[in-house]
Amino acid sequence: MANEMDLLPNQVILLVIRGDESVVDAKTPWVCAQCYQCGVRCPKNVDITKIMEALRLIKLRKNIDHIKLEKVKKNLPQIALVSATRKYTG
Amino acid sequence: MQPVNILGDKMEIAYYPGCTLKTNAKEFEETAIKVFEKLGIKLKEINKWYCCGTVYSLATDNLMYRLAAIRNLIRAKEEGYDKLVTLCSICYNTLKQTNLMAREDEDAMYKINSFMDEEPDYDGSVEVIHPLQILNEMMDEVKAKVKKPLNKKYAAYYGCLLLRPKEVAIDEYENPSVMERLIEALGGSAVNFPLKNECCGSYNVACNKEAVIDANYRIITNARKNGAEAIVTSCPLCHFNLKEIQKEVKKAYPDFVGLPVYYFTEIMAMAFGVKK
Amino acid sequence: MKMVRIYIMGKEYRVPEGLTIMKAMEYAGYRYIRGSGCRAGFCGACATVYRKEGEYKLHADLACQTTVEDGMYLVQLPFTPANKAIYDLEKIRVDDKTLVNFYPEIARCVSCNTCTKACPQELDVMDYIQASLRGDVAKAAELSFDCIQCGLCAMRCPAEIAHYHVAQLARRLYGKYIAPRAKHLEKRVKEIEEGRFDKDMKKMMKMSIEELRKLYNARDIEPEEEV
Repeated sequence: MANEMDLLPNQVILLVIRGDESVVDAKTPWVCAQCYQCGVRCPKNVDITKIMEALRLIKLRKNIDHIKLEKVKKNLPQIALVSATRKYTG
Repeated sequence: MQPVNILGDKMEIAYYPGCTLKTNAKEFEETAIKVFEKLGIKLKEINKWYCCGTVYSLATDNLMYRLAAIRNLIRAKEEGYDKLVTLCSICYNTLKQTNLMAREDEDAMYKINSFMDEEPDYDGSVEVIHPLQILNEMMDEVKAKVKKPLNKKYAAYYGCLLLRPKEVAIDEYENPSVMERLIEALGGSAVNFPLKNECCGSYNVACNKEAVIDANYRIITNARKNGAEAIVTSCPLCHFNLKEIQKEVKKAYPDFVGLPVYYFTEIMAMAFGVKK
Repeated sequence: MKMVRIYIMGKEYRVPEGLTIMKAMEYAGYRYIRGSGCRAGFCGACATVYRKEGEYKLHADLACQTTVEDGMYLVQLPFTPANKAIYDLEKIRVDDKTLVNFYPEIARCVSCNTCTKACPQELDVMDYIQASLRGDVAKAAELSFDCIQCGLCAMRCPAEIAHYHVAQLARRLYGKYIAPRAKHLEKRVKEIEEGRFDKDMKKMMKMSIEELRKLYNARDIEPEEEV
């Protein structure tokens, strides 16, 4: 999903290492599809997938949802709706 | 992958459908049950099951998101099964990762078992498997049942969750070959293409469809350029993102040429001559 | 008369043993202007949440049906805020996405079973929400049949689902579109509208009371089934 990201995964990790909190407002964690490709390929075994999830949860646990369920397209397959609610709503 | 005699001597295994196999992906379930019956295996749906609550939550402190998958494993265990098979890649990934957590994290399981005081305790004794792992060991039997060899070139598309993270992979995670061997056993010609384990966009289809449109364009064009005439997949969400979204890809990229998309059990059914 | 201690919104009262929560609150001087209805366990107005002294477990029940216990800490929930989807029953097409389209929050269900534990009617609430999620309208209608819409499930749900509204839509859809129609009833209504019984009706309406009595006593009675 890197094509859609504003910050690439390696840039996100660098900001996290530096403690730069603006990373939480990037588009990247929300485009991330949790495909695990980054973590599996990383030569240093950094669990990037888990870090992306943590960045999402920082917002979600403050009750700031990423999508409004009422506005989501109707007639999606159940699996799309369930996974979207799991990742984009708190 | 080492063959592991995954079923033992069981000929009836517990089957977990998941919500989508009962709705958008009905044909996946119907063809799967029929082709496995031809191979002598009965997929018996467990009596009670719940939405597994995909996608696996990577937060280790929130145990609530683990409950649904554990409940399903308890249901399988209650009915006397020690193996649970599921067709949907995402459900497979969620159930398998939860099962691994249940076996490794005693503290979490203590809390989960205490919270679910209306359920028997779960001890991690059920094994979660995917039908491709079973077929991996039955290629000769599959070949023997073919009545109408497939004559097309099929590109096997694995997507992500069948292969990653490494602990749950059903095959080599960078270069899997089980679906290609299945296609060859069915008389078709398998196309190996570089984007076969690249993500289709997954749940982005709910709110960020451009990501899925782009992924679709790249994956299908790459498959076609490598000679594919059709795509074979195992996941209802990949199927939806690759098939149903093609009309929107055409609008965004006028030079796009689509491909038909099948579930692996659909092509098995075609080759076995199973009637609808 | 033996008295028991109960705590209504934190204030201690001594009430006679054996009273229901509703009667006990009225004994203590409270007057119900909301949160009370049939007083017979059927309308769902008197939802109550309580704990027992020394225990952590939270219980939920109906005030008119539950007897007071010593050390009960209770509060009433006369109203549950729950949005109901707007729909025109005549215009809905029923398929496996209908319920989840009107109430997408059911996709947030984590199978925690809190709703089932909260239900005073002991319904399988989580099961009917799961059935609704996968589009099994008939099953959702069947499992939720005895729901009295007290709202306790919706108040306790971490996914913020309004279970009883989903179930009501499922039952309405089932009754209107899915339940098999009574063909013999439809046939009889058509016969009546076509006037097949008009002559007999007119004859009966002209009869005297003795003739009617004779006719009634001589009617065909279906034999009782052999046990």
